[in-house]
Amino acid sequence: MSASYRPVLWNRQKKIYDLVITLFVVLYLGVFISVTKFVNEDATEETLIIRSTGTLAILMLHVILMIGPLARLNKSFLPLLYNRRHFGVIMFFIAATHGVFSIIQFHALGNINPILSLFLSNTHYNSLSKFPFEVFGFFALIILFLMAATSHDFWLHNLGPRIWKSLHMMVYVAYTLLIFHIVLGVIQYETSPVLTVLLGTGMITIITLHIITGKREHEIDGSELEGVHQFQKVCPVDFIPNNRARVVNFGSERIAIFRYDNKISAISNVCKHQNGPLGEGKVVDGCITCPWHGYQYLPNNGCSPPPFQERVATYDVKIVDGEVWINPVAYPEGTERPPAMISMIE
Amino acid sequence: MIRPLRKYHFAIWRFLAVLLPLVFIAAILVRPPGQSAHKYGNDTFSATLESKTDSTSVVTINVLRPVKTPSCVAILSTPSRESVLGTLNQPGVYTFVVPKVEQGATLNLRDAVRQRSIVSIPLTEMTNNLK
Repeated sequence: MSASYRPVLWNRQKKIYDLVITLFVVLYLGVFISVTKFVNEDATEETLIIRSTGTLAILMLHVILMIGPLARLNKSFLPLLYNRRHFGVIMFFIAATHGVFSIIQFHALGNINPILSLFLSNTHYNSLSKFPFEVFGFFALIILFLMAATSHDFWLHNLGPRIWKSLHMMVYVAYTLLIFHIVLGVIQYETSPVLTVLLGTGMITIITLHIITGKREHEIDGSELEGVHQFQKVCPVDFIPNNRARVVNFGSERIAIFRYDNKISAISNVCKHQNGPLGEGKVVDGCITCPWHGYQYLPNNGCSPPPFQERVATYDVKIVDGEVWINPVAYPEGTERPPAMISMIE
Repeated sequence: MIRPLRKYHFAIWRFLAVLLPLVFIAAILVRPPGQSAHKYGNDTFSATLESKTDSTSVVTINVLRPVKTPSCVAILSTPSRESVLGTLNQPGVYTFVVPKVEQGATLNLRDAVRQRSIVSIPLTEMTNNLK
C-alpha cells in the first residue's frame, strides 16, 4: 500500500520473491538448453532459445494460474499471491522472447512484412491439423502485453479495481489461446508423448482447481442470510477465531466480522486495492490486513491508517447471549462504528 | 473479488472445463500419422521420385515439420548435373517436374545461408526411398 506511485515498492519479501523467480528462470533455461544440445547436437541457437523460452513461459503461466485457487484452498500459498504481478511480468518477457525469436526465425527473412507473413505464410485456416497455430500465440502475446503494461498500481487506481480486475481476467483468454497454439502447433509434430502428457496434466489441474474454488465461492454466495434491514444472528462469538474473521453474505456483497482484543467489528469483505477478500486476512498490529497484498484497515472505522486513504464500509454489530448479531445495512465507507465488547458480556 | 466477477470467473471456468479438453482431444485425434521418413535433427523430410513422361520425372518432397533453417534449398544432383529445385520454407508437399532422372540421383537439402548440407537423400525411381 502506498500514498504515492513508484515503479516498484521494494521490500524484503518482494526481493526474495523476485530473486527466487529469477534463479528458477536461469536454472530452467540452463538445464533445458544443455539437455537439448546434448540430445540433439544439430539444434541451432535460435531453436534452443525458441523452445526453452516457449516451454518456460507456458510452465510459468500454469503456476501463475494455480496460485489464486491454491491460496483460497490453503493459506500457506498466500505468500505466492503477494507478488504474483512480478511473476506475470517476468513470464510476459519470457513469452515475448519466444515470440520475437520465432518471428525472426520463421518470418523475417522473406520479402513480406514478418507480421503479415505470420498470417499469410500458412493459409490452412480450414484445417485443424495444419491450422496456422502461430496466430493464436500472437494474439495471446498481445493480451499478455496489455496485462504486463497495466500491471502497475497506477493503472489499478485509474481504471478502478473492477475494470482492472476484469481486464486482467483476460489471462484466461490468453491461456485458452496458448493451449490452442500448442496443441495445434508443436503437438501436431512432436513424436514424444512427454509434452502432450505434461500439458494435459497441467491443464486438468488448473481447470480442477478453479472449478473447486469457484464452486465453493458459489455455495457461499448462495447461502445468503435473510432480512436486510434488521439485526441478524450470525454465529456464537467462539466460532470466530481471535484476530480472524467470519464472512457472511448479505444482499450483493460479503461482510467480514472480525474478532480482536475482546471486541467484534464488521467491515466490507472487499479490499479497495484489488477487491481482495479481507475476511480471509487477519488482524496485524491492530489493523485488518488483506491477505493478497497487505493493505490495512482499522476494524472500528474501515479506514486505512494515515497517510493512506483507502476506506471500506462498516456495519453495526452486537453480542446477545454469546451470539454475534449484525445489521447488514452498510454505513458510508470510513464511518466509525463502536465495536461490540466481548468482555463486557461474558 | 466482488460478486459479479466471482460469477463471471466461475462461468468462464465451467466453459473452459468443457472447451479445453475437447480441443485437446480433437487436436490429438487429427495428428498426422507417424511416417517413416528421413530425419535430420528436428526436421523431417520424405521424398519420392516418379516417372511422369518418357522425358520427365517428378520429385515430390514432403516437409513434415517446420524447417529449422529459413534458407533450406533443394538441389537435385545426378552424375551429369546439379539442378536447384527451389526453397522449402514451411511444412507441406513440394512437387518438382524435372528432366528424366537417371539412376544415382541424389536430393540434397542445403542451408544456403550457412553454406552447409542439411541432408542428402539418395533417390531411386518409383520407390519410396529416403531412409
